[in-house]
Amino acid sequence: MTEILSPITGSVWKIITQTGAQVNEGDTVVILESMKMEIKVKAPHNGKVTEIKVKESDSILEDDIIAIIE
Amino acid sequence: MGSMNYAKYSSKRKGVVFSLVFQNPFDDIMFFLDTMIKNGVKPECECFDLGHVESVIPLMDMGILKHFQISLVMGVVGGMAATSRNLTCVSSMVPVGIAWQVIGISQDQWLLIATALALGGHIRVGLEDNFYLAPGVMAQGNGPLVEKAVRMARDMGREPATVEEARVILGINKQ
Repeated sequence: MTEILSPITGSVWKIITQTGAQVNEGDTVVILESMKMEIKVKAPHNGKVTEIKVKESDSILEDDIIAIIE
Repeated sequence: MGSMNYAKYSSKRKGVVFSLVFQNPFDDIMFFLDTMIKNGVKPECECFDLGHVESVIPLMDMGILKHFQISLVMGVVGGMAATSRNLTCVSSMVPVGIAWQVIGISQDQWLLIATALALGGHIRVGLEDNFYLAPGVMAQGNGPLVEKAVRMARDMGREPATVEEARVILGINKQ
């Protein structure tokens, strides 16, 4: 199980994947908005998304858990 | 108004967590200006460093840039640091008669707003730039950020412009 953490304080602009989806290393899981930029958060390895812990428009802090993949 | 490294450094992670080269060559800037002018859009020239402000001079000299405002964006790694001394310096380089505002990234925004109010500049707040009302106190929306900014302005003897006054300041015609 791997927790995908937010690298930055910002807001969740778009959730690209969904619970149950299979992702490959480097696939974009969510896109955050911070510092006037869109920042892609990518899967660190291949796996299945077992949980997405954020919603679009949520404000999140650095190191908040965005999703869990197994 | 210029190209730059654009990054976010995390002291907690001891690493750069986001980094890109923000490319803005003059050809692109002139293309955007031409398109904006043809469509009646007022240019907002965002300047992240001292040289970016100087870049408006040749564009003004060529007559490409006439009616515009300048935003001084501070606090992005790769650009100007968010300090009062930097804002004092860079705002002094804005051509006479051109309206300018400060855009502070992160909660250093409040320091810059106080400085801009003292220097006679305009200010911007919002979740796009800063999430915090105070250290550890996250804003629940843009409203509380605007309320704090208005309070700061009035405490310093300045009154927020009305919509009509803002149109005059920015040279925007009513549609």
